[in-house]
Amino acid sequence: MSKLPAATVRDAVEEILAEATEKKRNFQETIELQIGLKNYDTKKDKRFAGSIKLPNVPRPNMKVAILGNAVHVSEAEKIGIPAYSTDDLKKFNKQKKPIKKFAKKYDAFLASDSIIKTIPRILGPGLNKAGKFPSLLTQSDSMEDKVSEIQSTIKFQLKKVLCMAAAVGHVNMPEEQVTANIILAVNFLVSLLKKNWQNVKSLHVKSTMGKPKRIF
Amino acid sequence: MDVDLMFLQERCRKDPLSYRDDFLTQHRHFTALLTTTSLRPSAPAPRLTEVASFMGAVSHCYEPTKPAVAPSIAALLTQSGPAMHPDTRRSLVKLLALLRARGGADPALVIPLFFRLLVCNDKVLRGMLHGHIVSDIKKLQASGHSCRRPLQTFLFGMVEDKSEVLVKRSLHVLVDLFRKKIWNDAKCVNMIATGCFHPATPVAIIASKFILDSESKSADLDSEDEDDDDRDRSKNSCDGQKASNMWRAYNMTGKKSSKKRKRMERVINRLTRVKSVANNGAVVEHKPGHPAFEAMVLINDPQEFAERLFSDLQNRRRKESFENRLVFINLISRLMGTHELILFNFYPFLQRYLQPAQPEVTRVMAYLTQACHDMVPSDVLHPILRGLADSFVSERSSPPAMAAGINTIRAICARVPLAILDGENEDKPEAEQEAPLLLDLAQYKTYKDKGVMMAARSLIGLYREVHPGLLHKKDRGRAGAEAVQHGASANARAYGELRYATGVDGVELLAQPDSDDELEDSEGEPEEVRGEKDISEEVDNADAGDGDGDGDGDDGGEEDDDDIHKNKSRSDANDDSGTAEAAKLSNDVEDDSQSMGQEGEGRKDAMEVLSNEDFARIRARQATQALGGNALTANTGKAVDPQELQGPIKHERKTLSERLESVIEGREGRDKFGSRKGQNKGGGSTNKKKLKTKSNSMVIHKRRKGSKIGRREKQLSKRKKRDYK
Repeated sequence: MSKLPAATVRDAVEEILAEATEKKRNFQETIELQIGLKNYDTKKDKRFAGSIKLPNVPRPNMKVAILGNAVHVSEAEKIGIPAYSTDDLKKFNKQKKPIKKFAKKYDAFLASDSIIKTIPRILGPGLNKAGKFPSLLTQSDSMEDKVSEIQSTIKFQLKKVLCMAAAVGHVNMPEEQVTANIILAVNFLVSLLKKNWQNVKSLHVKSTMGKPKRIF
Repeated sequence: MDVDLMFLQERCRKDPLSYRDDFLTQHRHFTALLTTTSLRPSAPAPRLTEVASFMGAVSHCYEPTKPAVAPSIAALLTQSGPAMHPDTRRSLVKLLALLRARGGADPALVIPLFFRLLVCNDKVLRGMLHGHIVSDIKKLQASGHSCRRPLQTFLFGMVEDKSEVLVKRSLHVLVDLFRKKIWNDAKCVNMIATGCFHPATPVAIIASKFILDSESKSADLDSEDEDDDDRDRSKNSCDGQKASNMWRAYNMTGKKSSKKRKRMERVINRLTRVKSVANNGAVVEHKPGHPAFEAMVLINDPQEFAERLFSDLQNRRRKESFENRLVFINLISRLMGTHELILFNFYPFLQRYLQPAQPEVTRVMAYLTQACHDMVPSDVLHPILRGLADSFVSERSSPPAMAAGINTIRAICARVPLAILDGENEDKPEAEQEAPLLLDLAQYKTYKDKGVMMAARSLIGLYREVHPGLLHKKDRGRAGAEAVQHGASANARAYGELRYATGVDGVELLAQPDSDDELEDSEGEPEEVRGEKDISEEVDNADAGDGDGDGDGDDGGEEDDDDIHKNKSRSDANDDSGTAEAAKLSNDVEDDSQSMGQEGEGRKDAMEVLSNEDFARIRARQATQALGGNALTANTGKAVDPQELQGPIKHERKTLSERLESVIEGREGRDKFGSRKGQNKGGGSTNKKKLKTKSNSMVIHKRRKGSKIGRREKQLSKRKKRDYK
């Protein structure tokens, strides 16, 4: 017996999509899954973290930049992805403010395997602090695949409060895709929790400007 | 107290209206006394004490029309509090606290005043003040009083006060408030954390120790300032002490009887039971709106915080005592581990202390281990590992130092597996990588000292899981060798590599046909046991394969002792490699699922929401297949126990006096061994005995009867008996 019937999720998503088409916004609204936890012992269970790749890309507009060696930079320029070489990064001169701004400009970074180890030395802790430390891009990886991989990966991480949120789709996606994303994300999250559904207090789905819909 | 005043107090309580005038006279008297005391505060004022206690007992009866007492007392205490005579001061504080409890004084007036008085050189008074402040704030919090904000601002102002004593004591109050879950929010933690940068070291130590261990109830914060009160700390140990004293007194004095003994045991049980309940009760307490996080997690901007601490440690606190510096080092390293901070200078800084002759070196090693995490590139750590190996692990150093060195290297490598590779090897493709350091260390697996041998084996055990290709061929184990053959050798995560799941771990197991008994397997237990067994078996196999009859055959006498140590070390190794192992397994699962993830829709976890029962089933099946575990929890951020890094410690033979001591200790509270035959067991004398005491004339006929049998018959019966035998 499932705690959350798939039909409930589907209904909520349908409502959200309907609302979004009713009142068009000037941007693409994101659909978000919000989770409240309960009975969670912060000392015993520690903070948990986990990332999962969703079947359908939830954030196609996510901005990814490449920090790469010469080969990767030229490849990236061909595809039209912003790319920075080591020399560009050295120009920041470890100043905190510009690095912070730079980190803010993008949602995620990719770095070539040859230079990724030097990045903390070149840029300092700025990227780390923003939670945007680059992921590894090896020579054999296809750059476009890697970018879409990052765009479709979401991370659940518990910080100072007992609630979390993750982007699971956008309003221009077909309903089945959003539903599939939500179900997979919920399943994964619940599998991370020690007592599974007994740790879940609430689940909400909402679009950026829309009303939150409680599904659990 | 004055008899008249006592009498009046009783009357006023019973019939406030008719004694109103008397009360007013006393009140006038009291204010007059206050003014005289304010002129000469240091002189003793017994009369004022008496009238104060009268006012405290009675004033609530005249609630509505009562002229205000509190403000005048508060004014006096603010003006000349520290200079006052201790008795007078105490009585006034008591009165004020009483008024406050009955709602006769404004908290915004009283609590700041009490704080100011914490500087007084009067231990009893300070204890009183501390208790009042904490309980008052607790009550205010519970009643939803609106004064939280101004009170917090005031308290936090106190932490930045100029007077060191005041800061110290207000920190104690704040820490107490956090531990009692009254103010356990991030704001309070960060306020206490600012204390870490206080120029006075005792203050900084209090704050640092709080952040390191914000949950412990025993307040051993004030270990360095003797004059501070530690009522809480002594309370628990005091109960145990009392119990053992009672036992001793019982054993040494008086007559023993079962009744007395039972009474005694009842009392002692009560003492110990109360203690355990108090300990548990505090842990269980949970407020719904307040998830109690550790202070370590709640710190704002940990990177900046740690950097500041570190620069302080190198500059301002350079000349502190080593013990104090270790506290700061511990704090920095825990912060680095918990928040994955990047502070590369810290590792070479610690390396200075990593010498076998350094006192407390295992603690430094533990702190070094704590500071290692995923985000540290391996080229930062490799020189440190090299240095450790050079200074600790060589034929010249003592076996305990070698064991500690190898264990530390193992613990660091469990967090950053690739740190064992030097610069050249790191850039090579996986299959060609070599780790000369690891190969060197692995050779100690046949070393004659047990600690070193076990440490080396646990290191081998770790790399079998993580990167078997780096090991010598015969060290790889069966699974490792297979993995190397298939080419998929390294499970160690490359720096910055993005790892993610594509679905619920082990969901494909749900598709298997059902068998009912599976569900009955409990979850964690069998899985763990199995894992442990596997590893130990493997190690055993490897031992046998080595052929040169290593370590196990030391000497027969110590055999069972050995086994215990060995088991322990294996389980330790297993713990450490546990996450790595889990990572590997999940990786396998991931690979599988990626291949089938393309079809996507076939998976159960993408179609419907799994229920608790589904998860239980997955777990049970994972247990039967001996795979699984949560791959995504890391063991970074936890405190490392220095004792784990030390090898097993050989117990030295006790001296005669020590042995005797333990023997005498064991004798306490038990009866003497031996036969109880000779002892008087009660119940009167036996018939046999009675026969002996009676006069001959009374029993002579009986005795005669006995001798009726002739000598011949006797002989025959004896022979008969003998023949039967």
